[in-house]
Amino acid sequence: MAIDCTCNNTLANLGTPDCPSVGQVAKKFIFVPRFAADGSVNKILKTDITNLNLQLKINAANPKDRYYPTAEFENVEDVREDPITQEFNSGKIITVRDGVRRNVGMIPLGSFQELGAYKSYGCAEFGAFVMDAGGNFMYYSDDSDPLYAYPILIDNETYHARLVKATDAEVQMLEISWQWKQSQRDQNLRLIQSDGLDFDADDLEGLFDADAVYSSILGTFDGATATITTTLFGAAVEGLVPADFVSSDSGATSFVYNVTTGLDVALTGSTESSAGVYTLTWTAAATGNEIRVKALKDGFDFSAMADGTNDITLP
Amino acid sequence: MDDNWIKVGNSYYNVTILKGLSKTEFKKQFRHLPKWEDAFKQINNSKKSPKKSKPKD
Repeated sequence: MAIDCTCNNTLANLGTPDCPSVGQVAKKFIFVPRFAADGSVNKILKTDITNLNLQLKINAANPKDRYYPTAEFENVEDVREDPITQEFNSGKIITVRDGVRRNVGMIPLGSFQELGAYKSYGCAEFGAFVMDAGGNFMYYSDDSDPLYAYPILIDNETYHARLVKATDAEVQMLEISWQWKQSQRDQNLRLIQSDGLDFDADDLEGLFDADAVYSSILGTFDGATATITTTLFGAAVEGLVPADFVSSDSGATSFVYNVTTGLDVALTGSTESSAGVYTLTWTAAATGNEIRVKALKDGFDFSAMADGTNDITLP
Repeated sequence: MDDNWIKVGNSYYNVTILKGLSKTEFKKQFRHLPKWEDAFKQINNSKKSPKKSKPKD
């Protein structure tokens, strides 16, 4: 009896449709924490795999519920090593276990800043959905839970990201590699073909961390000037409107939060005077009160604005 | 934007809160904005009740 057998095993039927789902080389990975914020395993109903639902997942407030699409990969090699075998004196060779499946790929023109972000993934349990070159969506199917798509689990202890510097003949790249978990069986991989999806890999983009620096905190009006930029790249976060500013406490839109009183404070005005520079005014608050400003907009993670490190003390 | 806000130039103003504010108080809060007077007028014009239309004969 070979590995992957049960005691009452019979030979499986081998019928094959004319056009079976066949995967192509991976182009983009969607990293997903293994466990959600509520402690359950992260999974998604197969019927919920739509652009709208994935954007909600990408922009989820809690990092443990969030999906993290990578940049586009090139030269992906995802190969299962030869099985471990035992050879007997008779010449008979028995398979002891499957070889590990190792994935390695390059992110062309990957930046130093991105490297830092990618390196952080080795520290937590996670898995990945895969978008392949044909626009198909690959997931792991659990036989006991067939309505759901599971991320394919990655052995995070094997995960590695490194910088490949440019040469006269090659651009700078990031090399990302990992082994899939040994528990992940190739025969449980499944595809949703591209013609059954309303999105492609280009529609799935990871979030930018963003934070604010405050100036012009004047007593002549209750407000401040916030310069909001992406944390890693320093790019201005443009186009925020009053409804994009939310209370860090209640989540109410067009509000800031008075940390001192524990009350939401309504915005009275908002002006983007130059790219990413916002003058915000709010209803009166007492001298010495601390005001916390937070923004909320798809494509960005503004949690650093509300981490308590740069609250505004009113003069 | 919802109806509580108007846009004047590149600035947004909360009509619900600012309607009825005296010009002095409004200026105190928004004098850093070049079009604050236009905003003040627009916000307070919106306070006017619409003219009654004459009943049709």
